[in-house]
Amino acid sequence: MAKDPYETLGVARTATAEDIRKAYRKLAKKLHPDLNPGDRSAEARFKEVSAAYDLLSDPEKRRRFDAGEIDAEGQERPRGPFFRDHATADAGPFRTRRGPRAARSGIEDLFEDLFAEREGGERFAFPGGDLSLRLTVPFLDAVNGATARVSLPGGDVIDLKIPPGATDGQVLRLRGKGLPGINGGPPGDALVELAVMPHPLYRREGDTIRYELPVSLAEAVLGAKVEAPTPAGRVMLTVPPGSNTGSVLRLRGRGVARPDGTRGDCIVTLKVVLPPKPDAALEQFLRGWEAGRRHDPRAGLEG
Amino acid sequence: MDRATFCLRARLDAATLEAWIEAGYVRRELSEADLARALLVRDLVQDLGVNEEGVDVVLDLLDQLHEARGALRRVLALLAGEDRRLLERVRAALARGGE
Repeated sequence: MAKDPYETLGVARTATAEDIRKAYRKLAKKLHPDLNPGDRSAEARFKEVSAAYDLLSDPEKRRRFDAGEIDAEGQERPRGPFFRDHATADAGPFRTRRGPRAARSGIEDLFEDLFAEREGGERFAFPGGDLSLRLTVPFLDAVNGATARVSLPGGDVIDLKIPPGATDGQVLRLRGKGLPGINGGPPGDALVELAVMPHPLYRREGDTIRYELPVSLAEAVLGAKVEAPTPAGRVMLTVPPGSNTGSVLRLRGRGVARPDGTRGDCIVTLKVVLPPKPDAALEQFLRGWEAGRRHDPRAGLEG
Repeated sequence: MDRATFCLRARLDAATLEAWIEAGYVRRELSEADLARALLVRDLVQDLGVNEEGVDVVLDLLDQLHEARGALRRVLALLAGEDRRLLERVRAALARGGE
């Protein structure tokens, strides 16, 4: 959904502020809804172009976008009301001059009104536009489900239910929370795109959670019960004797929550970690450890 | 609406609003339609590089366009009530003209 703002304005990433202003001006002249009273599609394109300009005309926002700190689609600024929606509905004329000349183009929409009316539709009513929003969601809120407070550009604040197992890029539709309808048409929807933040420990593959769990040399060799974090809370994990770096343990039902209430698995890969300071007793043991000298962990490394 | 509300919603200062009323861009009644018109003037001046003389021309042409559209709309509505087949033919003829 978030288009590249440079692409939207048709400028290079190296464009100067002046280039960007010119490109926007050129597009806005063509696309401004009030300069295109018969073309409903101009409005959507105009909003896209203004959002891109909003981002790139602000040096700080542009710098942050270029650095990858923010996305193309921040909270979209709603545009309007547009004068064209009042020009016919409003009885009071703005000008007193007489003598209209017939317009030669851009009137196809007038027919749509007539045919919609015939089919029982509301006269000249248009549904309101959809509003696109982007919501950043902490990793665990997406995995476990959560309720997020979202403020809509119109000023409304709503509690948005993030379903368990929500994914990055998922779009939640809030019916009737978009732009108001025109001439009695229904309001549009708010479309909330979720941006799930990464987690320092967990990685997610579908409904499986993977991460690396450090264990001590003694725990790996001798076996142990250790406490391990999972998105569903901490669990006691049995490290079997003779475990090694790369040993994989599966914690069933401790992964990503599913809509039906069950959970995927959490897969833990062990990583043997030596003590931070060499231990004299360990060194002495290793010097005298014959089997250890014969063990070649690089055997077969090149096929 | 009152001036303060209007200025806030149109993101204008009071002096600019007064100038725009004087220039005839916005009417003293300050209705929703006037607000929409003020936002248009703001876009024209701030974003589209239209100067004061240009705003007059644009608004005048737009008003004419809306008048013409209104007239055509009334004609078509009348036709729609009288003769649907003629309406279809008018639509086809206009579609050809737009090519």
